[in-house]
Amino acid sequence: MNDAVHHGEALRRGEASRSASEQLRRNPDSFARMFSAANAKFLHYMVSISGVAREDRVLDVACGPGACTLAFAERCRRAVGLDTSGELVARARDEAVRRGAGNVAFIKGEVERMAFGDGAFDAAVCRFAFHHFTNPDRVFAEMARVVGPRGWMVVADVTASEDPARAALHNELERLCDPTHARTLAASEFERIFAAHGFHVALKIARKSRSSVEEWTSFGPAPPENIPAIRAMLEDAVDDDRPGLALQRDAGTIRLIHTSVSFVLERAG
Amino acid sequence: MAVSQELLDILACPKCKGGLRVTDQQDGLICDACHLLYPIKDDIPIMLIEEAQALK
Repeated sequence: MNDAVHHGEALRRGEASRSASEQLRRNPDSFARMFSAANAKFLHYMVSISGVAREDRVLDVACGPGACTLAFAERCRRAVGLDTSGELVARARDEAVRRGAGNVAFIKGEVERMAFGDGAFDAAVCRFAFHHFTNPDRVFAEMARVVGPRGWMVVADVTASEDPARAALHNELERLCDPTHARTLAASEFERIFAAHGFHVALKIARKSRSSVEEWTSFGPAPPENIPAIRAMLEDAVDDDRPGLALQRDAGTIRLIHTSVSFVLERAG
Repeated sequence: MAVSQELLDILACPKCKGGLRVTDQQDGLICDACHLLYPIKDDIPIMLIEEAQALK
């Protein structure tokens, strides 16, 4: 099976973490960042805005190496991390053992077909994974199913422009930077999905992350063969900011700003 | 380490969403309705239908 076919198959199954596994192979250090001080700060903020209660059972969807699951576990009764990558959930389990976290479990399974009963959790969280899902609506439907009647969620992800042409170019750039990227959604698309499954936005916080093209392409990192194309596209788009990333020339480089949004959701009605 | 009762209470067969029971050796979860065995490897339940073992 060639890589493209394999990739297509992985995406068809909504396997966010196949891509995470590919990232891990490309750059093992990139996952150290999941437990970095910067990410710890973001996770602290995610936990704080969630309003998580001591008695809550929390599901972390597409948990990767478990940093978010473990952050919630410190504040709730039980946290469960779900991911399709056996490699990543094994790392997550090792980290839980290292920390002596006894109220955490990790499950290898599909995000589009979750192995949990209806209303099994009080809450579901998902940190920077929706852009890897080929069918975000189906994943969210599963989150809504496994969260109980008074359930809440926190969904955090990068968002795209509300203008479809800008969003399309943004996504083209993201796919060059990370070939396993599915699609970054606009904030309004997230909100439509939430509403369709009976959740309303209780709190919505946008966060701007600035980077140079060099910093952005080293994060994944981008496949080296794609970097010339990324640079050429940015050069071509910088003057009128066609991908909607607040592109700016600065001291020999191009700077961009990604907008991530954290949505705190409650069941409507 | 066995799967805790609390975890067993929230887990379900990904195919039929029905309840599961632990194998006698505590090394897998069985869905009697679908006749599938989901292995538990190194404390991690593998809840993928395509990696489940069909039971006679």
